[in-house]
Amino acid sequence: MIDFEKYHLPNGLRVILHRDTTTPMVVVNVMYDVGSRDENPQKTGFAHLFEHLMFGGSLNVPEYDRVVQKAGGENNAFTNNDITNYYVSLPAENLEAALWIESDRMLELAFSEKSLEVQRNVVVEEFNQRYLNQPYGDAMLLLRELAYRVHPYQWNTIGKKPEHIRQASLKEVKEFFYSHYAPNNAVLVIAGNFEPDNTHRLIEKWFGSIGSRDVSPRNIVQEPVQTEARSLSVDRDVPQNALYKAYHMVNRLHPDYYATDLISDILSNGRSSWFFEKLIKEQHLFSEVDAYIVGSIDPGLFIISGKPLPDRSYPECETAIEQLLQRITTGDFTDRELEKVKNRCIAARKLEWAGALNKAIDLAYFEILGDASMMNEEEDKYRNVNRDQIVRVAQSLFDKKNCSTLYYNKKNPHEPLP
Amino acid sequence: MNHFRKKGAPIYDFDAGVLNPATLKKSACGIPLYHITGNTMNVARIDFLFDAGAIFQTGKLIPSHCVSLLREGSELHTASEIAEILDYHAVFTEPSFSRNKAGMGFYIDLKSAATVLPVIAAFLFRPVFPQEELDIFNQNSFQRLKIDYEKVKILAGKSISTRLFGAKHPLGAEIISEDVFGVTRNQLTDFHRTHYHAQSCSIVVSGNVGEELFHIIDNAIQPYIGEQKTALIKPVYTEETSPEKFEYITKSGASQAAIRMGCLIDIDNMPDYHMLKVLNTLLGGYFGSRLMKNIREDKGLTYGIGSSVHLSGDKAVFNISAEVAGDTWQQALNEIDNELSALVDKPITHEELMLVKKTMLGDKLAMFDGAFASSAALRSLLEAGLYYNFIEDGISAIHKANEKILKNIATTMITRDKMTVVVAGPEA
Repeated sequence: MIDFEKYHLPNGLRVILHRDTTTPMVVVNVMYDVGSRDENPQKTGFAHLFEHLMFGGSLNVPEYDRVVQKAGGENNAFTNNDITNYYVSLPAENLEAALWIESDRMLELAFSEKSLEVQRNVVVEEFNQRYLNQPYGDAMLLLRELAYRVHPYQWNTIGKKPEHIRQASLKEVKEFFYSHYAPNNAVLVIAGNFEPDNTHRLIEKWFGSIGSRDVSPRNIVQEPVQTEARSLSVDRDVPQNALYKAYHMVNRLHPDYYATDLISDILSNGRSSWFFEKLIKEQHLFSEVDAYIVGSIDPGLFIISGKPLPDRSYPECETAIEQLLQRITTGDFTDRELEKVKNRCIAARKLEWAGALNKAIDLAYFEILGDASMMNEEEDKYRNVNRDQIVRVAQSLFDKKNCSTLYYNKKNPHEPLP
Repeated sequence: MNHFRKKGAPIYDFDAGVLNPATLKKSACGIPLYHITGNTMNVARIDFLFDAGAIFQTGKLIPSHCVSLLREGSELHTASEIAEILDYHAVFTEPSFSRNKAGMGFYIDLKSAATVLPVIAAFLFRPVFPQEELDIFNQNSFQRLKIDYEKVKILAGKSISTRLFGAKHPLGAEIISEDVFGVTRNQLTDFHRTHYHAQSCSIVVSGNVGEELFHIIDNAIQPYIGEQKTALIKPVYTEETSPEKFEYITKSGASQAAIRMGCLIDIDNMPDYHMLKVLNTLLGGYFGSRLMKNIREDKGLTYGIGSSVHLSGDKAVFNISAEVAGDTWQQALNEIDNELSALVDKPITHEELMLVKKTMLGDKLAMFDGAFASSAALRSLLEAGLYYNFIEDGISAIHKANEKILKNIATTMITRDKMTVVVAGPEA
């Protein structure tokens, strides 16, 4: 159970305080309700590029990082398809310094043309380093495009292509700020060692005077139901074939989310999971194989990915996967197996919350989803999933028409395609 | 107008030091057991560390294979049974492998401790390394190795290690497929017998636990602690740094080049090493470092560049790494050279040094943020044969560091002529 206090400022900023006096640190976390799903399809990668620019100086703080360093802290940020998150973790004495700089960049940015130019290059190199210059690095870019035809989840947070980032102008970037960065589109969480009364006063002092803004209304066209199986085959300079399967799943707030997550755990969470035991150890089909969910706010993807061993064909690998999926859709699993994945899933969450930072991020995320207190209901929601629900969810999930398959082939020599 | 915003918030000094240090006790079997307290929601982390790291290598890959294969079967359980029991009780396992120590850490719910610890002790102290499991492991390791060798950062990183340590040294040896498939059951069994026993073991427990857990640990390991093992023989490996100081590895089709620059430094005294850590932070050890400011934040040449320094026996290993666009590596390398020269030539301002010091002190504070973080801090000390006074001395050095001392360190320890450079990137 994570205790917290929650309130709103008149400008719409949602504030959540979680006190933990056992740590010498405090975390200030600001999550904005904007991600790559809010981007224009012709200008992808903006939310993430923007995250970089948030470190380029604000109205009264020329160098954000310098203040963090002087205060003995560390900070970072990340963007995903749904949200953009900024955090500072620093010695508890210096809480106010973090509130100052976070509020200042919520108030008004002051980065230069040069800063934009540099960060465009930095992000293009990030694109190269993480996606284009890595074996299998573009697989998720291809799989998203295959699975989503309409919804902006069809592109990764980094963007569709480096050109979109290279073309970003100062004017566009500023427009993005004023239409998405606002107290009424953000959640502030403070977690760690702080004194509540003084903290209330400091939050009011630094964030209270920022005016609320007109946030662009979100108008995302939802992905229609997929009606036939899709596949794509690409040849790449990699040493081993790889196979990716994406099934459309429910959204994060849907009651079936928990059963979907547990299905992925039965398949591949832990060394006793079916994929590890059957596909790797018993049948010697894959060198690695995994199942996991992308639990996004809009309907996400259930993904299976694996690298078949050199002498194994796609059809035999796919058949073996199908057989295991079928065991779930027919209820061919034990109660102990279901209990096991629940135990692991719940324990993993508790461990994740051992540190103030993860607690802060999760509190902010659940508040963006609708209510931070949902964080404390997660354990029961996983515990209450029953066998019938798993079977029902698996039956609709693993419908072949709902599947997009990417065959990522090793070039030279070409493997026979299925 | 909000004038208070211009003025900003006050920034205070803070104390950094060893918080919540471990209590050292002996387990009933004589194994040193370090306990770090802290509220961890009825979960404890228990680490078993053995003197069985890379430096104890009796043949290529044997120490790392040994720790990786411990869970693949014991005298009491098959690999599958071990996996089932640990997964059901939600035990999360983290194998660790470094220069000196190898071992495993376990997050365990206290209510399951009496059930799972005997299973764990059996595979730590009496593994059987089944041939079939070894074959699967080798096959899959080989596939991973092939993928790794497609990455420019791995190509450059492996090559510089070979150049700095020499191909015969465990930290410099090149790994080829014959090495992976050459590891035998007998080699693993022999290595395990001589390196995994009470005399080579230490235990770190972190969390809100009491005597009851210590009894459970004692009872679990007691059956395996009997006859005195022969004294541990540490093979002697000498670093043989290559006189060739530059290499370009062509990776056809790469869009980026990975740069690695580094050297080995003799450490005659620890105070110099602590100062080297300060100098490294200033150069490339934090987000505001000179390398980051110049090469990322000013020139936009890279997503990230950093330098690091760590102890390796009586030497320190210094390393700079970055990935840059395939056609800009020379420009990036020139800028790195400039920054190395600037350590000697350019003034270190009070402001710059203050930021370095505060950043480092903040890091030291964060090292003890919670029982699990404190456990990680202690384990890294034990890995290098050190204890808490090393951190205290490091903090004193941070306070004491000044321009004159740092420039002296720069002049004697990390000059450009000492550096080996490896770049892996596209065809010229």
